[in-house]
Formats: sequence, C-alpha cells, structure tokens
Amino acid sequence: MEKQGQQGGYLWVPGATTVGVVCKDGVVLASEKRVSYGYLIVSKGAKKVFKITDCIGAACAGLVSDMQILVREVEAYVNLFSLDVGRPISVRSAAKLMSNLLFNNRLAPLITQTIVGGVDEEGASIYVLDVLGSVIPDTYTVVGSGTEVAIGVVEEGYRESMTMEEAKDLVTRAIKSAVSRDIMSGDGIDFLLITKEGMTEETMKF
Amino acid sequence: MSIFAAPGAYDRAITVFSPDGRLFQVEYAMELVNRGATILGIRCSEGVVIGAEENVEPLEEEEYSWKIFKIDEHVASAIVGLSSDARILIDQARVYAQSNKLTYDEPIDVEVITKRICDIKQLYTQHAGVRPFGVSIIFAGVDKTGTRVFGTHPSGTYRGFKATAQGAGRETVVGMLREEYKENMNLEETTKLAVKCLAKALEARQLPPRMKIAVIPSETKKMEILSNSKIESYVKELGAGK
Repeated sequence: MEKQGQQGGYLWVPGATTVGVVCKDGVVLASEKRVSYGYLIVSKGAKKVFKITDCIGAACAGLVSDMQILVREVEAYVNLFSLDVGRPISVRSAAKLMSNLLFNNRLAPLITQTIVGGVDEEGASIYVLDVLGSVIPDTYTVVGSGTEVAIGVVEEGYRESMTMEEAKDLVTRAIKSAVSRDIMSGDGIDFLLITKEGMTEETMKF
Repeated sequence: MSIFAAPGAYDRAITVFSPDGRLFQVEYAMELVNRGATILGIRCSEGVVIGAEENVEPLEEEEYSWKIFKIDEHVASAIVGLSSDARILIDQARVYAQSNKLTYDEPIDVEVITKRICDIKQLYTQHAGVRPFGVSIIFAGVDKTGTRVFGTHPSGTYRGFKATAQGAGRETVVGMLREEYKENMNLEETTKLAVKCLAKALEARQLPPRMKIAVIPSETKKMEILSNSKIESYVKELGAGK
C-alpha cells in the first residue's frame, strides 16, 4: 500500500522543519530552506517563513505553492481589515482569517501546516493551523517532517522567560537536530524575529 | 426658471439632484427623523449610556422597548424615525456582529457596525425605485478601542461623538450636553446626565419624564437595560435637586 503523500512510490509533498516559539521579548518563527520531491532536492534556498504585517508572520510546512497562495491571500485580507477598521489586526484574528480560508477549501485542501505568530496589544502569541484550518494557541510548536526530532529539543530547552536571543538559539539547535536526522530538511534556516518594536528577517546558511 | 428650484419639482425620484444640488427625498427623511422622539448617547471612561424618550402605554408590556435595541453584548443602539425601517437595519447590524465573530474571532468594533449600516443607508439614497431609510440610529458600545458613540443619518453619513442626541429634543439636549458633559464623569453621573437631558427635552414639550436607558460598563462590556423603577428614582432625585 502506498503511504499518504506518495504516488507511484514518488513523494510529492516536500518535508520541512518549522518552529514557532513565544518568548519574553516576542516571537521567533523559523524554518529550514530545503524543498525536495522524492530523492531530488528541488531547491536549497526556499522561503517558508513569511511576513504578513509589520508585527505578524507565518511559518509553513507542506506544499510551497499552497503556502504562498495562502499567505498572500491572508495578507490581502489583513491589509483590507486594517484600512477598513482603522487599526492593525490582532494575531488571533489573522490566524482565524487563515483558518476560514483553509476550512472553505476543505474539499480540495491546501496541503499546509502553518504557524501564525506575532505581537499585538495583548502581547506575543502563536497559533498552529492544520490542513483543514483548526486554530490552536500555543507557546511553542513545531510542524513538518522534522517535528519528531525538533520538538524534543524545544520542549527540553523552553522557558517562558527566555530572551529573543535565547529563543533563537534554542530554535537553531532544534532545527539543526532535525536537519541531521530528517532527509527532507536542510540547507539553512530562515528566521523571523518579531518584537513589539517590529520585525527582523535573518538567514543562516549551512 | 429660477436657479433655486422649489421642492416638488425634484423630489419625485431620490436619485435626481435639484439644480441647487440637493436631494429632497433625503432631506425629507431627515425632517422625519427630526420630529421623532429624542434619543441620546453619551460616553465616559467607565462605559457608555444610551437613552430614548419612550412613553409606555398603560396596557403595554413594560419591559418592551421600541427605541433601544441590543446589537451584541457590547453594542447597544437607539433609533429615531420609522420603527419599521429601523428593524431592518437592526437585524442587519446583528448579523454583521455575529459574522464578525465568525470571521475574526473577536467582537465587532462599534465603528465597523456603524459603517456597515451607513453603507446600506447610502445605497438607498442612490438606487432608483427606492426611498431612503427614515431612521437615524445612535450606536454605542465598548470595544477594543474603548468606549465609543456614533450617530448616523438617513443620508448614510456618520460621526463619532462624546455625547450626541437626535430627534425632536436634540437642540435642548445637545445644548445641555455641551454645558454639562465632563470628560471625567463616572458611569453613574453619566447615566444621571442622560436622564436629566431626556427629562428636560420632554418637559420642554410638556410631556411626562418617561424614558428608556441602557448602559454598557467598560468593566463587563455587557449591555444592561435600566429598570423603570431605577429610572424613576433618578427622575425623583432630579426633581429634589431643583
């Protein structure tokens, strides 16, 4: 029997190791940069971490096309929201918007797991969304094929009182551990570091 | 032909401007609203108060209100003009409030409700074969941005207020509010001011002080309609203070 996500023994869903962590100063979103189909690495420089607003971002695992479409659409709706309502959208509402898009596509789902994270008036928060659009708030989470390895590292080292720098180190360790054991993850890490002052993007090449 | 057209020539269809740039049907709707029973909305840091002149007939159910409606837990509205027109807009506002919860997972902003309702009102000043809504609504509530009061017109314009009034007694009430409104009033004082204003507006037209008042405290963000006995006690207090 074929495994899910396979066709003729060919794996058509790329893997990923994508991490989201809430810390004292804000939120760290990160993902490695590999895209692979079966035994071929299609790209060593893919971006799976996205900016949505100045203080909300998303990090994804799954089909790259689907995550790009999803994030662009959410970005459009979020921009319309802030123009219409006259204030920036909350992280929860942005996550809920994405959840609605995913749920509306449930008969032909977008193959993505997404972590939406950011800082708003209520502070820093992250939400995990599955393929059909469930919205689950969390303080740290991992999605993608490298989850089993990475989550152990994050769980062991996580503290709520972490600074941004400590959280970034923890996330780096977690992704590096996953990269060394998960064949579908690798080639570098993209970070999105979000504080209430704003957001910075960083890239680490292996 | 005179530059200033007399009403009658350009008020058959609302979509037609008169030569001096007026939409008579919309102005007539405003006139209707200006003759209705007074409504008011006041905000303070502790919450919002919304009130309306409302005479309850002896055989009418006491707790029933034709003037004040709950839109959502955190938003109240008062209407002046055609009640039947208002019902349609109130029902729609309630749908928008629930729909916002489904889409954004948070209570709707008062301004957003106001804007949506005014979008509908505006449509009815431009489309052919319809008449404008003969109703002004004051929306008041407590949302993420704080305590908010908005006044709307049949034309579809809206504005944010610290305190506002519409209907037959609006000039009396707005005059009083300008004198007596203070930024630092608490909710109790604000409620008393609302009662005082409405009583005065009624008195000016030789009517008894009958009214409905609703408050939304910032603390609970939940609308409460004041009991008639509570309002009566405020009115009595007012009489004693004179």
